[in-house]
Amino acid sequence: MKNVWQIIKREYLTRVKKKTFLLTTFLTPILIVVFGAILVLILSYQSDESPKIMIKDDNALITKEDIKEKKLNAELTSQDLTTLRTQEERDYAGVLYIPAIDSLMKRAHEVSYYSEDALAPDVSLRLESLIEDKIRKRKIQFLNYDEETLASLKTNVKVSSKAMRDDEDAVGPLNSGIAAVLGGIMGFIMYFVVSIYGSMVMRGVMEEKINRIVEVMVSSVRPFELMLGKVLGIGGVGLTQLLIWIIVFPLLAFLLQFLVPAMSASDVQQMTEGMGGSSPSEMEGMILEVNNALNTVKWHIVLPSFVIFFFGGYLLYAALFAAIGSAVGDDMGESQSLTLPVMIPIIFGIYIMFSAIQNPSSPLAVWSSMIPFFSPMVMPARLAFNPPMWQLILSIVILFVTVVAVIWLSGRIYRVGILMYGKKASFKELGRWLVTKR
Amino acid sequence: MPLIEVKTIKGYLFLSLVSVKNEAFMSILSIQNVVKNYHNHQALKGVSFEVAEGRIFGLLGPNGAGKTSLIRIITTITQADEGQVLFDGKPLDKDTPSRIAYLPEERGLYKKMKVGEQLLYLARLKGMNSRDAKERIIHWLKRFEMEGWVNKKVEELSKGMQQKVQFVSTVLHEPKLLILDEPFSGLDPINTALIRDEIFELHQKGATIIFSTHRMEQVEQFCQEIVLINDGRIILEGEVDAVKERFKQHIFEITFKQAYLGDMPEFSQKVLSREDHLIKFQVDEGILSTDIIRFFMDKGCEIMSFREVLPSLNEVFIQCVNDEKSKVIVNS
Repeated sequence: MKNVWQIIKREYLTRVKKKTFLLTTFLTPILIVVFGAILVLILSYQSDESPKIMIKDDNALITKEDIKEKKLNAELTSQDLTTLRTQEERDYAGVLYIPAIDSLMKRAHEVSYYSEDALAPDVSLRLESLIEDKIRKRKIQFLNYDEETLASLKTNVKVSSKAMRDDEDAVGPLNSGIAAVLGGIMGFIMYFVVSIYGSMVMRGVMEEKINRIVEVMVSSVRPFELMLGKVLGIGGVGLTQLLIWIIVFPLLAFLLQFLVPAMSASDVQQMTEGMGGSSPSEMEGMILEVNNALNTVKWHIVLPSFVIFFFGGYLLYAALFAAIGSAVGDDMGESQSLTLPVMIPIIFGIYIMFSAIQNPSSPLAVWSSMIPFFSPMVMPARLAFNPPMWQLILSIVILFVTVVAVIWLSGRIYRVGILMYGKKASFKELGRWLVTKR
Repeated sequence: MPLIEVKTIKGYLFLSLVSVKNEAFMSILSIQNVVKNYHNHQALKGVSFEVAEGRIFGLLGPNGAGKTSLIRIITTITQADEGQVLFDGKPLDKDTPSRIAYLPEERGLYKKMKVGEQLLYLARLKGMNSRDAKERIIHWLKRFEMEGWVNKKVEELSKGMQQKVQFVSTVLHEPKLLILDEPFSGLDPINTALIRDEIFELHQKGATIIFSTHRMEQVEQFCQEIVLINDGRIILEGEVDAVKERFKQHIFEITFKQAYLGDMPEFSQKVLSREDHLIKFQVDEGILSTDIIRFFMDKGCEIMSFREVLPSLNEVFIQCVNDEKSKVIVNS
């Protein structure tokens, strides 16, 4: 076991010290955040630069204050529409014409925009919401209602899950949307870990075989020690990367608030409004609800469980990938047909995970949590929904029993495979290697 | 009973305590009826031999004869299906690898690792502690004039350099038994000479060496004793000189001071080549060199040189393997 430690150390250090590791580890979050920031900047880039429009309003719906408040580059005019449309020299791009409303109470109203260029979608949206709002106010006035009366008509109903017995906790958290997002993130991290680091193990094994170092190595250490050391060493690399990201991502998000002052609260408001979203007070309510939901998540169960599934899932698939890597011949490119059977359960797992976050206690989700090839992705996705304890424990037990079995079986394939040079092995041969004596 | 053996190898004078084949010699490696089966073929069909401590031992055989299978069993990479192997009088165990060095024919290094790191890593895996290993690495790199290469990555080295690093990594832990499979492949003549000298040096310090190669001239240069394996069985074994003696064809070569154009003796079976001053011929079995010399002296010839032509190991090898093949054909 002293040797395993030496191997772990080498596998870990050579990878962590590599420039590419530092680059991907620190650049990925920075790139994602910068990308997000640019996206936000592009989306919030508006009005000041948009061409000027003239508004001819025959109903006196819009005031100068409205234009200012909506940050529109527009001017009210009383000129004749024909003049506006035919004027040779003009400093505006188009004319918005709001014709006199003939019957106020009808549902659909139409206004026209005369121009050579189409109206920018966000300007168009803002104009529409402004005019809709104004017409609505007219209607309220006309009907002799007031805003408060109307507001009281709005009704919200929400189903909230409660435990059957008083001494139990509720099965679902307050907001299943938040749980779904949280579950989705955890399930996706698992998918990422399993496929990225799994194939890193495979490549490591193939490299050793192709470099012909492997025969030198196994004359000093047991093949099983070599495999275990590699799997654990690379697992350490994965864990390191994950930990760095857990620290770096929130840090960057925090820093970003200062770096991008343009993203002020009012901008966010306008953006959501422009996108036809909710009003400021509703936003506040949502944030509050997210906070509440996050507080109801049982972090003391979710986080340790996630770490357990992280290790279990990684070990399971890394061992399989190690066995595959040992069976590939001298050509790095020919691994595909062998990796396919390992990739298929991973892909199924991710699809089941997507279904599980929509319906976390469906038979599919529950049964998949018991199948060790899916559970590392499916169970983390269900964690935020407070799955029954017995399911969680059973899932972990089944996973780790399988992990031990798979590591043992992979070790048997590996120890034969690494000493076979030349062409890649078939699955029939892999099966034979399982029963071959050392 | 140990004897003093004097052997000259390419100008190197070796005085070594070697043992003659008798009960008293110390066997460092004892292969006892080893059988190894693979899927649908038997790589070793009951191989037994002893390797005496301090010898340079040749493990020979054509491709696919079972040499690598046997070496992998000795180095504990695989296990024998039947029979056993004793190393230093004890069955192979988990400590065996730290006392054996193995330079496989299929060898390599981690390309991205620095020379120093690589050597340290491999030495640590052989059970050396960090301090001793570092000391030994510095010693060896100095010896090969590679001190400046400690922090160079292996991939930056020339092929010859890599081979030297590979050799150093193999012998760093001062093994008792050194198994070298085609150690000179990929080396230029200068590096070949360098590595050869190091192998002799290790041998002098008491290491036993098992040398596996197809290059028979290297075997003649190095080995004191050989085993020839074909198709999983030993078909020839013994001291190199004795083997040659056994396969001798009673061929003699004489050079004369004056041209000799006279008759050949009656016991001469076949004249292989004849010039004015030189005759190479085969004689009947049982004819002694004194008989031959006497015949020509009686003819009044002045003999410049006289020698018995022994077969090269290459010839012995080819003859043995071909004999085996024809046996198989006859049997089937």
